Amino acid sequence: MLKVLRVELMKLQWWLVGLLIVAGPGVSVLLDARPDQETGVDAWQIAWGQVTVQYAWLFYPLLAGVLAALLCRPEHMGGGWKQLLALPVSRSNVYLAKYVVLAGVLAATNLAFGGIFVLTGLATGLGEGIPFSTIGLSLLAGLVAVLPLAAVQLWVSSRWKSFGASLALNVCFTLPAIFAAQSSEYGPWYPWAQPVLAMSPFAGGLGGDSVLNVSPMTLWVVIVGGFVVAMIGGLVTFVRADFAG
Amino acid sequence: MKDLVVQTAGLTKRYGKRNVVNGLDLRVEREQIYGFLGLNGAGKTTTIRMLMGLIRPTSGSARLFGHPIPAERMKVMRRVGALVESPSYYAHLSGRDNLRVVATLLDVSAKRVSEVLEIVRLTADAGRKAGDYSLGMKQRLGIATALLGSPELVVLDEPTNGLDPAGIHEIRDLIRSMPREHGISVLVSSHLLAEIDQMATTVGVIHGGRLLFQGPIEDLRARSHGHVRIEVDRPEAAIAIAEGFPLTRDDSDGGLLLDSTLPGDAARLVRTLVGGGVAVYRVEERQRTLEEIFLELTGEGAAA
Repeated sequence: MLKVLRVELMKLQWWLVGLLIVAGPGVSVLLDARPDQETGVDAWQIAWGQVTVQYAWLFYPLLAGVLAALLCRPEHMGGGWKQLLALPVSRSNVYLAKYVVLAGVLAATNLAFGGIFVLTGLATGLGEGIPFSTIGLSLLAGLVAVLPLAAVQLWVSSRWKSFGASLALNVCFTLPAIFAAQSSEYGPWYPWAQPVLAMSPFAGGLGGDSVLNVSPMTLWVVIVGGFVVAMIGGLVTFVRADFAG
Repeated sequence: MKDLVVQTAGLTKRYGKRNVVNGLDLRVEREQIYGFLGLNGAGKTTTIRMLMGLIRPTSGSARLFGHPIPAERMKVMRRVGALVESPSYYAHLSGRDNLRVVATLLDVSAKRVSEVLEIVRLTADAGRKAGDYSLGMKQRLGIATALLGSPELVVLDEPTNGLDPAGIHEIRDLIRSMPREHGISVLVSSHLLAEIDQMATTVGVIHGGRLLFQGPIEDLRARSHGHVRIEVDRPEAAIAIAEGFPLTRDDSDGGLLLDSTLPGDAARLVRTLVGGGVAVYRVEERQRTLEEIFLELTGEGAAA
């Protein structure tokens, strides 16, 4: 498993991943940066609430899909599946290694997002009282919430050769998330709405008070359940697949 | 009991209503160079993919070194090196890094990476991105990858595709040296008979998913019972006069073909023709080429 993981890291297009990790959160934060705000803990909380909505609703789920497609692209493009899977490596390890790298990069993205937010906040004069625990908890919740849809995206990307097709599917599912997130009825059931529900103190979840009356319990059951279903589904599909392309 | 490196029994792959591979019984012995011959679309690559565990047979079984595939794939794939269809490569990585990726999975040293680069003459271009390689260089990289783990069985699917004549010669020599110098068994596929003829010791001819012939290449040649070709002034009259002889028109050039090479038959036929007033210009024995035998086997060349 470790060898397969090392190989995944060797194959990753680091410059592209690095660019996405820094540029995405950077844009999300800077779009919401307002230098004329008040200072102090409340100002930090409000600013965090604002930046997370855009980031967790749009950018973060989209990135999960882009990264999943990027991780499978080398194999799809150069006929890599037939070479890789004819080697003495187990298919499930190949799939799991890709997922681990995907989750790792998504975690790094959240760290970059938090870092850029804090730096931008200081630069725009939010001053003292950085709410580290709120931010930390929110970032962690966001990562956990993105894992099921990352599993769905890896499932799709491992089967679909077309980068564009899996990206289009991702966009189609991500955009409605903003509406789903506002519905206390459907929000918790929609995988692409989970990151924003979990991350934003305005939307509820672990990161703050729940304003949508979404029970955190339901949220986590849906997330964990969704993750298990998507992961097993993707894994079984991958292990059983014919690699004839 | 011969040592079988590859063995399939009734191996079948069905796509929709078509059996792309149909009841194949392949037998590749140790240190053999087995030429897997068939036209494009005959089922060669599908068979090889099933041997590698990349696709599952619809029915029948495949074994490598006696282990069932895909069930015990993990146990034997360390002993197998394969180039399946078009060469696989990571376009954004250099040739050397491509090999390093596989070397990591096979626990192979950096020294071995350099060795295989040298074997396929890619050392000078090892630092370039594989995506910028020519088709021939990609093919060499694929062969290097197949050799990387010092396998006991090498499976090469159309290995000379895209190579220039000098490259084809080199790869052919390399393949021929494998059993002799390294005790490697080789399964090599091609749609070119001449190529198989120059490399293989045993041939399997596949057509429409079925194995039409399997055995030593000499046996395939032995099927080449010859004809005697006769040129006369009046072919129509000749056939009428030579009633009772196995004589037919050769549609391609207007000559006559006697389906026998017994000296007595030819002599009697010539006597009969001359006696009947037909002028005999030329009598010659004609061996069928392997190409013609292949075409006849595959039913693609009725005229031959």
